[in-house]
Amino acid sequence: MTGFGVQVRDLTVRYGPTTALDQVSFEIRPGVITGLLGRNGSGKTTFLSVAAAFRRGTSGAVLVDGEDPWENARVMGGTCLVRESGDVVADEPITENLRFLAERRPTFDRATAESLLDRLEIDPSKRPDKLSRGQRSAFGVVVGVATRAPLTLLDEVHLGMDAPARYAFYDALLADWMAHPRTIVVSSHLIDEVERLLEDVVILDHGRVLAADDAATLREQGLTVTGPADEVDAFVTSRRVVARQTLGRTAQATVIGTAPDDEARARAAGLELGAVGLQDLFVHLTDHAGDRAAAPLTPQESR
Amino acid sequence: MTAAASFAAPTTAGPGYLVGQVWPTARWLLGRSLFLALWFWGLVVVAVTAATVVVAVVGEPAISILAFARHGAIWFPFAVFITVSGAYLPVHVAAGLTRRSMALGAILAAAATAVVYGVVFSVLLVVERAVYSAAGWQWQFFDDLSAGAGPGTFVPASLVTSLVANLSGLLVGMAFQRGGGWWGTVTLPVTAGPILLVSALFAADTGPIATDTWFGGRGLSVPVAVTGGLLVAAAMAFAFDRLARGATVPVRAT
Repeated sequence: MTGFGVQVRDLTVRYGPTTALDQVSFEIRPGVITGLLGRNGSGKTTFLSVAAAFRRGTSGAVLVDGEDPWENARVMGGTCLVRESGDVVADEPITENLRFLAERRPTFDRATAESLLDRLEIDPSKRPDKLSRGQRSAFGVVVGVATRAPLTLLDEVHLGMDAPARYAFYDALLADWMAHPRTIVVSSHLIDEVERLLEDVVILDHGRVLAADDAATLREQGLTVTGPADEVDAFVTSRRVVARQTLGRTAQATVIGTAPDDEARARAAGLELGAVGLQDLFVHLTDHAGDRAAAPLTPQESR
Repeated sequence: MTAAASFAAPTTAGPGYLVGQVWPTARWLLGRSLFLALWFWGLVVVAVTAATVVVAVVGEPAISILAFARHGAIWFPFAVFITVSGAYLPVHVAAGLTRRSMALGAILAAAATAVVYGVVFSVLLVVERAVYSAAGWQWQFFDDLSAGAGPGTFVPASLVTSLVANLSGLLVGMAFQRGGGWWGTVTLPVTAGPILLVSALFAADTGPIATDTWFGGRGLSVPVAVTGGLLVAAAMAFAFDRLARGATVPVRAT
């Protein structure tokens, strides 16, 4: 397996009086695609900036491949953070940007970049500052994928991209990762769309870690119940219901937490059980409306 | 934790680091600077030629018209190098390169640009003087130290002043980058002031920022002025390097 792992230990980052990250600790496994989820202001971009040596933390430590990334030529050279549309030379044509990157990134693959540009319908003779919002984001995607850095950090790179472009990005990212395994961190609000890519998930909220685990384990933190509406209602009585949908007499409810006799009860009532969706779990964990704020998952629930 | 065995980035600073990071940075910044220099000197030649023709038609040229471009040749590249800290730093770090390599590459580019501006300005002055001589006009460069002097005088004056101006641009930009608008402004006497100081060493009597009286109305001897200017340049390069190594790439969103 290739790719840089990341260890975060008691990392705190403050901007003046604002605490963006508050003593967070978690790990990102090497060679895995990890989803970094969180609402606006949760600290996602701040963490990614520290990992990519864009800024220093106030206290605590981030180790990338076992080393402090700050001014570390090896680690920085192996880390690629694409923020939204990417930090590129905005007033030079894309072809010049590709040459710029190829000279500086030992793992950059220009053929892959050109193929992706074609697939995402971006004119390489154009300057990034002349592209539409969605095309600029797509160019950021091209940079992130074609750089093939051992640690690739994609921060909300989908902004402005239309659905076909986003799905082309997901397919390209997955295909390139399978051909060239490396550590990829994807920060996104479109959880339903990126869920299929993710092996691990870290959920941040107000500068704290709510959950950090592999996606399968997180999905097992709850379940979806589908069947006749009255049977579903009976099944979820006294449980934490985070989502409910009804279509005619059929209902589907998403609950947090499981019980040993869930399968037996569901079978007896003619209900179907499924794993909880990451989107529902995310909404539940980060919902601060009224008294519905959720506590972080316990260590047993989240590694 | 498993290391990326296939990754071949430089592990330590050394020849590979210089070739892989510092040299591409210097070349890139120098290329952009020279592109703008081409425009600058092209416009200067056109403007000076036109002005000379007009003056010759209505009267007789008595002083160097090209000399009026002196301040432009100092402050234009100064402004260009200010943008390095704000515009180029994020691109550089995002490309996986260290701030130290940016600092070294930018200093090299600033020095090379100073040579280009200094040499081009000096060559154009010599050409202008030859034209004046051929036409029978009086040529005078209104700089105390350089008046009537040859390239041995105004070449080092132009080179050193350009070098300090370019480094000052880097330093001003980094001061604003590190300290924000307030500190960037407050420190201008320290970050941009050296341009006036070095001009004074050469006793420049040009334009609205005349410095010919700073050292008793006369400039220092050329070797002393050059030495003083280079010491100032070295101090500025050191300060820029130290500030750049701690620079944060601004966060766009959280």
